[in-house]
Amino acid sequence: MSIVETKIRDLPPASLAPAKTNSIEQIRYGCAIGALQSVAAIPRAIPITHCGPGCADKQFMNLAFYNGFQGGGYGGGAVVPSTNASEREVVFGGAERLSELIESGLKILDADLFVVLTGCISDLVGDDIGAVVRPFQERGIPIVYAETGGFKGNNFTGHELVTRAIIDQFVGDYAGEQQTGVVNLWSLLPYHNTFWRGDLTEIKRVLEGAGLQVNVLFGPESKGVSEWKAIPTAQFNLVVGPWLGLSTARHLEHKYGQPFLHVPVLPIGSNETARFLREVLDFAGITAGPARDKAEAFIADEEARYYKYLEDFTDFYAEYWWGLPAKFAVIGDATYNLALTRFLVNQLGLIPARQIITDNPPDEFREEIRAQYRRIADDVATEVDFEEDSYAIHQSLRQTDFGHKPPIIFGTTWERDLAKELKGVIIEVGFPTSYEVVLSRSYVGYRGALTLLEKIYSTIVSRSA
Amino acid sequence: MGKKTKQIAIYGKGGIGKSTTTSNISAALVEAGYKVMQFGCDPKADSTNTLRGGEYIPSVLDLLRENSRVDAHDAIFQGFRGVYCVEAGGPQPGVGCAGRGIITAVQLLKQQDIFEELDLDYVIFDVLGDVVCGGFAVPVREGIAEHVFTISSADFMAIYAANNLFRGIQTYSNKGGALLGGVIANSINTDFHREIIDDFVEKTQTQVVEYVPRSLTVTQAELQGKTTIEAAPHSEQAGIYRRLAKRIAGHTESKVPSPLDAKELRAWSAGWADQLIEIERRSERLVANA
Amino acid sequence: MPINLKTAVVETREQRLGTIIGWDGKASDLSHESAYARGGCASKCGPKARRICELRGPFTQGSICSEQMVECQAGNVRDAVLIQHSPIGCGAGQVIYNSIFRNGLAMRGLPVQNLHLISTNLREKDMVFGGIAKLEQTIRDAWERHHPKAIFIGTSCATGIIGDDVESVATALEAELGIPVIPLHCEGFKSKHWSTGFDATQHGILRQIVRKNPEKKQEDLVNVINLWGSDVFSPILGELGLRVNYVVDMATVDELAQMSEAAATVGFCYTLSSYLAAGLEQEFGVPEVKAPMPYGFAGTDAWLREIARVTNREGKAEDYIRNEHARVKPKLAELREKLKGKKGYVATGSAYAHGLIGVLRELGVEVDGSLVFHHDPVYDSQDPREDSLAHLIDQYGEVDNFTVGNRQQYQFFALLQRVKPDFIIIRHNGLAPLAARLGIPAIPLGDEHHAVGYQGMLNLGESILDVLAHKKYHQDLAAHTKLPYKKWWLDQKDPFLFARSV
Repeated sequence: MSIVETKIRDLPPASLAPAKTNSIEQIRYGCAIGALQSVAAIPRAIPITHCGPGCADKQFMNLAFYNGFQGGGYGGGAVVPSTNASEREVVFGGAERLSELIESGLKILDADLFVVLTGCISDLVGDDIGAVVRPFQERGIPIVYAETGGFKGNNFTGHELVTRAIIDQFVGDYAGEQQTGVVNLWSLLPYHNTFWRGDLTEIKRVLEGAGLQVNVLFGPESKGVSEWKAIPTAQFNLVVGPWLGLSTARHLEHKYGQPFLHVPVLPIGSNETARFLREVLDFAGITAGPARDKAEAFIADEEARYYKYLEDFTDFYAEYWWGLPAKFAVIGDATYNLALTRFLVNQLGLIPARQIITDNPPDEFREEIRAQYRRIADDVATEVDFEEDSYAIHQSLRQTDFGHKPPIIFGTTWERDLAKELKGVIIEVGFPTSYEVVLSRSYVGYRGALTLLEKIYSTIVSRSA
Repeated sequence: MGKKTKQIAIYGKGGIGKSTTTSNISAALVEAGYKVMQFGCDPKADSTNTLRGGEYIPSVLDLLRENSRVDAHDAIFQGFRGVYCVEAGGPQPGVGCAGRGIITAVQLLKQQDIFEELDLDYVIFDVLGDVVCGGFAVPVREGIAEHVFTISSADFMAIYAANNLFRGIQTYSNKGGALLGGVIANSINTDFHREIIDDFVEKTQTQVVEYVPRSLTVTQAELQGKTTIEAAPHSEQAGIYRRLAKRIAGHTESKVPSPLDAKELRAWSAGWADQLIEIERRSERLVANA
Repeated sequence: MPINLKTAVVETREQRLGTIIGWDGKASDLSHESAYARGGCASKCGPKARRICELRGPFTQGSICSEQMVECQAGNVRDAVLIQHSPIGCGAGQVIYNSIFRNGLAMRGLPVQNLHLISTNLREKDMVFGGIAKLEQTIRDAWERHHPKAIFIGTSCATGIIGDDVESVATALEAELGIPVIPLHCEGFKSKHWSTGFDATQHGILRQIVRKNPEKKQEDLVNVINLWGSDVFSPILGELGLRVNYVVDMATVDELAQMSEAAATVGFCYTLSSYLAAGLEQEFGVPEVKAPMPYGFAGTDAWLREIARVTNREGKAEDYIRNEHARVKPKLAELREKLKGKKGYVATGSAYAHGLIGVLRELGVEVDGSLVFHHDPVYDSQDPREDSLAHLIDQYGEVDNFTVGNRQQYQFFALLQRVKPDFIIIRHNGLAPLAARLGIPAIPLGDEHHAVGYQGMLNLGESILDVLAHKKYHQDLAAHTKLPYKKWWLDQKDPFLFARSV
């Protein structure tokens, strides 16, 4: 029995926690139309929004700007066409207004794919969006639509709706061959995850290093719509993360007869990444022979480099006089939360004190996610909470026993003041991260893990004096 | 200025004679020397037609659709003996949001202080149907109408709609909303009709304000695009409308109704249906025997 | 009655003032079409608003909504809570406004904290069955959690459409909790311009927070209506022996309540201050300082003199004005030398742009184009001394390419091609990235007080010199990026090609 496990029993009883209500203070996700950022994440795709005048600005400014200052990219940000629906569109319906917006937008905008997203207004007054978009589709214009009214769910929900819309309305039917060694990657939520660009780049890099061809679909490494068109030709779909992307993979299985592999843990560090790659290779049927040998050589090479750096880091890690934090909390979406917790426990030997998942995963996935934390390491089990209201999250952190040393909190800007209150250290790793400027930085795979170590310990060391 | 405008809302299921009755009340009140506005809250925008010779007027929402800013005066028209007529208007069936349209139209007039400016004695909102969504509840909310009347015939669907309205009133009643003045019983030509309505108001703890019979005079007046008060001022029906208007004008104490719940309403209507069938059977027998 | 506080719902800007968001021409023509110049108006125009022909086209890019302005005002009152009665997406704004709030607090030397915004998190079934029970729960949560001095409730498009009766629950809970519970009607679809959101907040504050029958008058207190800007007003007004009461952002509820006790109200931008200042004068007798805004010599002189007149401090103002002219003029001359031949472009809110163009002209910077995000033909007071556009034209002359447009990036390309500026001044997101891709650097004016007063001219001059050096970055970028517009569109000279006049 490990120390950690006994600690779990010290968690406050549920009765101390305030009764859960509908209220959400200090939000940790946007709404379904926030998936306009998923469209902006596809090279040369432009979202067209049919919503109130503030919706597009709000989702962009918060998911993409005050979250790592990622920027709008080619077709996102302030470029996003919007009907800016007014009282007129509410009372009389907004279908005509949307139609004229699309028609004029086609003359002005240069894009390979348009995705119409609706907001609360349209979904409440019941505009028939299909009837507006279909005539454009019939003219051969690459345009699809998704009904993403904010009351339908968060931007994770919206992401799945948009992905599904592009597959069904743009990629379309396919009955041809599937190509061995080609994989579609479904993982981090673009923009919402502050480090998605760097992370997807690293995942693609290691998969390709292991000999696979990857349709990454979102971000700077994506080839854009041609990659989306190629989705049905892939051998299989790879879902990396506890739940996001699973419904897409199931849909693709049904639609194209494509199998999928679900790897719940986004890999951070050499051990996790090697295990991840071997699992994918096995699933791809690359179990032996020259292709596997080449993959193993890649893994060995990456591993050697990784441990060279880790060896040098050890001088610091073992000898730093002034002490380093021992206990940590992670407050974040399921994918990053699980990935970080595994890395911090298994690679660094830190002690999990509180893990809170904030992206509201559908109920059907929660038991399996809990099980993941109960076997976070061979000798460490921990519990995970699901909570989206920051007031409750912060109360829970205040009641957490972080032991004799200040904790390290992996969280968001919302935890900045709380970390000070607890005399601990804050590493902003999730939405919203308003005090980091993020370009290509990654915290996953081989390279990202090293960057993460740099970030964690630079933060700690820089606080010393 | 200075006097308090009395604001009244009249609800009823579509086709029940709601606009006819409301227009006659308005006509009777202007005839009695009051300053009255009738405010139609129905997307069809035909509430006030018989006050204006059968003529349609542009609705508040028509103006809003065409202009970025609307002067409320452009939506106010005078009719029979100077009665002020306003139509909220709304979208075509099947699109947009009619409920929001009513909210918008009512707010616009209130923001421009129209009721005070016109120095009105009465504003009568003529509101469509049962309370289907928040927008249709606007006239019963705080600060708009104080008294609500519902028009119902002895027809079960009309009574369902009235009962629904009672539920809406109950919801808003503890938040400063309007209270129920009573039921205007329309198309009451037999004792049996009267018994049904009387039983319903008793069960829901309200009252009948007036029994209005179905009358050919009304139909004839409507065909001329006029209210009965205008077209047949000396008719018996006009007298009934005047009496109704007087009662509504003099009405001061409204109450929270006790609507029936769904189960009670079913049981209640089933009971009356049995009696109805019995009566039908008897009359068939009479016919057969004749 | 110019401002109607009887209803809970504020009248939109387009209704009250005739606000437009699409227009293109010479500044003098716009000024002439606006209310101040026309004086009388046909009866169609209502008590205040004027009708200016507006350009409206089928293609539009995302704007900003009134609810966002409620977040950045009511949401920034330090000891209040703002409830966003909405689906979760409206709550996304908490992120940006928290960041701005924290930086603003730090800049003003106030304790840094997160803002207190709570979403009622409405879901599909609330759309069908109504969201009032959740609103009530969230009001109770707000009270239990923070014991605020006031609770604001911002509405949303969704609750506006389903017709949630926010007033009723607010009234009931206000009585129960014993603090103001203030509905702010700020549905995004209600107004074409976001500045209605300023008015919505100010309407609620006037109705429910400002002390109705102040027992005392604070004859040395001046309400300054601003946002998060640095504290430049205390030193200036201090010279006149006046204290500053900053509202609305970062104020406390009590500071808002005491507005009725002040000797006067001033602003730095009539777009922001119009409603509140007029309301304070109308309802509480606190005079609004009616003068040009404090930009450039003439504007600042007149503004100070009017404050001094209203607060009976004329002598002190003259001393201060004399000293400041003497201090600033030599430095300004140096800056004019360095900025000679430079051309600037201003793209900001309406009244604010009028002020900034004046400052640029003081600095000797050429300005032959400007984009304002909306235009109010008149402000709530209707006093011609507040006609900021006329002041600009009278003092500093014509602006040849004067455009009104609510932040439409696709039009901005052609606008910049017309005048080819060396730099732009900007306050809202969305336009600077396009300018950047054309090699034009932008000064983002986060501190809205940066250019205020005599010192403001020097501040802005220094900032221009800084940003001109940025040009290297932008020109490099321009060589390596592509805009998301078709070549055909970029070749068009008329940014309003698709629009028609309505």
